[in-house]
Amino acid sequence: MNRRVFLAAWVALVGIGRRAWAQVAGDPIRYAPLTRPVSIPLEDVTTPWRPVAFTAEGTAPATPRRRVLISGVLFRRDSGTAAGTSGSIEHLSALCVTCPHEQCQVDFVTDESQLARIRGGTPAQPLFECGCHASVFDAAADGARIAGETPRGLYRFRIAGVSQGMVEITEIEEVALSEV
Amino acid sequence: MKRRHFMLALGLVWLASTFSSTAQTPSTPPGATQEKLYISLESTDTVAVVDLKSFKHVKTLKVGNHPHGQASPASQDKLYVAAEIGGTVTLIDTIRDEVVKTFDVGFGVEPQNGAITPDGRFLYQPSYAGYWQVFDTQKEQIIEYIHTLGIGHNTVMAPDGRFAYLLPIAGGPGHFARPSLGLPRTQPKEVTVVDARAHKVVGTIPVGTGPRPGTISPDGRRLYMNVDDLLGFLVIDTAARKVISKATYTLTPDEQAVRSRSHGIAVANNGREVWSNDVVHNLTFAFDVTVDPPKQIARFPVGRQPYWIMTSKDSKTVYVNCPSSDELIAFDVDAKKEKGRIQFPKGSRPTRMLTVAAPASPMRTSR
Repeated sequence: MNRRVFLAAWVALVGIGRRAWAQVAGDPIRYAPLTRPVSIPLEDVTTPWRPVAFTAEGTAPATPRRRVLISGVLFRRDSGTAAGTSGSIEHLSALCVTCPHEQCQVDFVTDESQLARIRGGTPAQPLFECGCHASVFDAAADGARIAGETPRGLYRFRIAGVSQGMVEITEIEEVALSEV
Repeated sequence: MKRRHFMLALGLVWLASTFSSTAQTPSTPPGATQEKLYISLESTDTVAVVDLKSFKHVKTLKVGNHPHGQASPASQDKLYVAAEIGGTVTLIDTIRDEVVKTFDVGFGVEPQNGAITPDGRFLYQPSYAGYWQVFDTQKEQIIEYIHTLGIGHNTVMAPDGRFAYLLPIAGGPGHFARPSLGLPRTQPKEVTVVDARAHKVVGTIPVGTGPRPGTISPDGRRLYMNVDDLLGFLVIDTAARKVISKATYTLTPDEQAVRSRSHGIAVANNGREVWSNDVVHNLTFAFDVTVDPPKQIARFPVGRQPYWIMTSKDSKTVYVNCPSSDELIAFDVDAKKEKGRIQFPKGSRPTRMLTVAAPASPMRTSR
């Protein structure tokens, strides 16, 4: 076995190992419970890209413990199954609208001319844009970072499910409680 | 006799010419100025000119990519606009509101908000990469570099031009991820004081956290500054070079539960008041700074996420801009009331601004 083949084999092995470990370890994001769940009628989010704003409450883990109010939006990414009324949460996103860069509130942008400006003329799906420093987040990818000074994507809420026609939001990324 | 007639005729001609020149320029007596506000519309690479008498957006000037810094000398006939992505500084004639030229002399990574000596000779131009450049406006070249580390961002010039105060942002992971050349990942928590004649560092003022926008009293004795993690501002004694006090906003319990930042500060009412923004709570506060610690005297709901503040030349009007809602709001300082609002085009992102009392006619001044 020559040296090049040996190195390639090792690189492949490390890659497979990392992927396997990620599957075993599961979602690395840690969530913390909200003080009380946020309930939003499912019928309010049947239309894609029409966000419903809400305010959630949590407690920062720092000492002394601090009450934290978190602004968020719930929206449907696409029409999904049965026009979004089946009770599935698969196509719903609940995101904190505080920019992880410097705590400004981001805007949900659906206007085509604004989207073209942000993406340099490229047609795009709705985005979040920070009004302070222009960081851009992908609404279709659960608020993932696209560009700008933000060190990461938008903080995510966890949707527990749909109960009696209400979308139940119960948790927020733990790190958000210290940063928001 | 002939000579007498000649002298009389000469006198009449002189009188006529004097009368004529006065009659031609009744609205521009010597020393007349037109007060304007120049505001960067960052996402359109332009500077908007706002006439402050009518409070109207009267002209738009194309400058470099992402304008993010403005400075004007005491003569007020020039404006230097730094473009952070363009890496250039554009010179604007404020009398005619025309672009004169653009300097592209290696202003480093992302030139930010500089300040100029009152005589207009030296522009202290910060770079995001952690240093300031001293640009000689006569030689049109950078003659000195001053390293502060951190992120070069805000600059305050003493009214007499003796000292320049360099206010680097401490920064965090987001700033460090910016595509800037080899950013030094240091977080200076101090103001650097520079002798603006010798261009040498003469001291530092520790402030305990990252400096943010600052401003100075008309007599140069107090530096007021927003800093990281303080909803309010610090008061610095410039002679002692130390923090002597701090002002904090009074907030409701619900406001306290939402993290925010102070960003944008100005001295108003002939040095007796300081106005400062609370970004996330969409508020602007006014403080009486004749007492120690400063006392909050007013708070105003403004547009979305106020970011910068500037005053009129008589300091009786305060201008607050809100990049998130593309607004510029004017407040009457004495009445503590809003008196006007300009809506810029959606998404234009108004950011840095400067009021200039431009001479009404061309002046001979040093560059």
